[in-house]
Amino acid sequence: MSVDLSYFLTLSAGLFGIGCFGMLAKRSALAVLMSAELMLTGANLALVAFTRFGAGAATRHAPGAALALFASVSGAAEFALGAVIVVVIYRSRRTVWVDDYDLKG
Amino acid sequence: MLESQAVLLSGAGTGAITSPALVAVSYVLGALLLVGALATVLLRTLNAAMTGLVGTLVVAGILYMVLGGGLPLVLVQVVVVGAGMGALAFLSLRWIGSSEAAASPFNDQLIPAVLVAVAVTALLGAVTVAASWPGATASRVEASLWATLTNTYPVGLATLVVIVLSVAAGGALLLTGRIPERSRSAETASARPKRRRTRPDTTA
Repeated sequence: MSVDLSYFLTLSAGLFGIGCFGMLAKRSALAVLMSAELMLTGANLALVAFTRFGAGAATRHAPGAALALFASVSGAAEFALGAVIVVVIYRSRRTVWVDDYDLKG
Repeated sequence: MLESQAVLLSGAGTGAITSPALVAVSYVLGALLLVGALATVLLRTLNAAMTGLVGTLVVAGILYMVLGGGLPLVLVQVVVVGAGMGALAFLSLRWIGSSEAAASPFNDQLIPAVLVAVAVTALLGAVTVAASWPGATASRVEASLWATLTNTYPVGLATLVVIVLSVAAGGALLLTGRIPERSRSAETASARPKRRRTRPDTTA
């Protein structure tokens, strides 16, 4: 019994799909942000798996892991800014549900 | 059968994980990851969904450790992304302070969302199964990740620092700035059904 690249890529695809569903199906803006983070985690898992099993593994430069680190931190920053924007919109519009957002007026 | 571009490899074999303990851990962590992700999107209260998300991110960090992704990456994933994001989501709910905001219902597009998610997952699964990825034996990534970040990607690292500082400054300014309350008339106007705009008659 062994675990190889395809297992982690399948896991990554599942995580991405679940995040995709949450992003399309949830009403709360915070839940949409959390679903986006799930999708990003799925992509990062694929990057780290390619670092471990893929062609870049032999180069000793860990480009996939470095890219995953960049993506993780910038994703966290995006989540932080998104959460702040949700709070600010709530103060103005009194709703966090994306269906009710009307940013025109 | 999809074939990726041939890459000259210095390693040999695909370097699959064969240790029974690590294989078992990988399967358990994979199951926990999917359960946490499902909990994040399926639970109807944001507090429970946040707990699911933080659990998912922490499990992902442990999975990175199993994959030898490097200690900096694991620390960033668990501490900065997992714990930080959970705290931030919790603080957002406190700032909002509304019981309505703590709920996380589904919208009307549930069926299309399921269809799109299944289609995306199936496409990714098909690519995963059909592609023949060039493989190599992993070298000691852990020792070289920080060196890679500082030596190979110094501009990227500097950009990341700038992004994080900008987000901190921008977030603080947004939160402390004066937000104009939406006027009652604007609220009632948006609550009213939208009337069709008629083009002004220019023939006269």
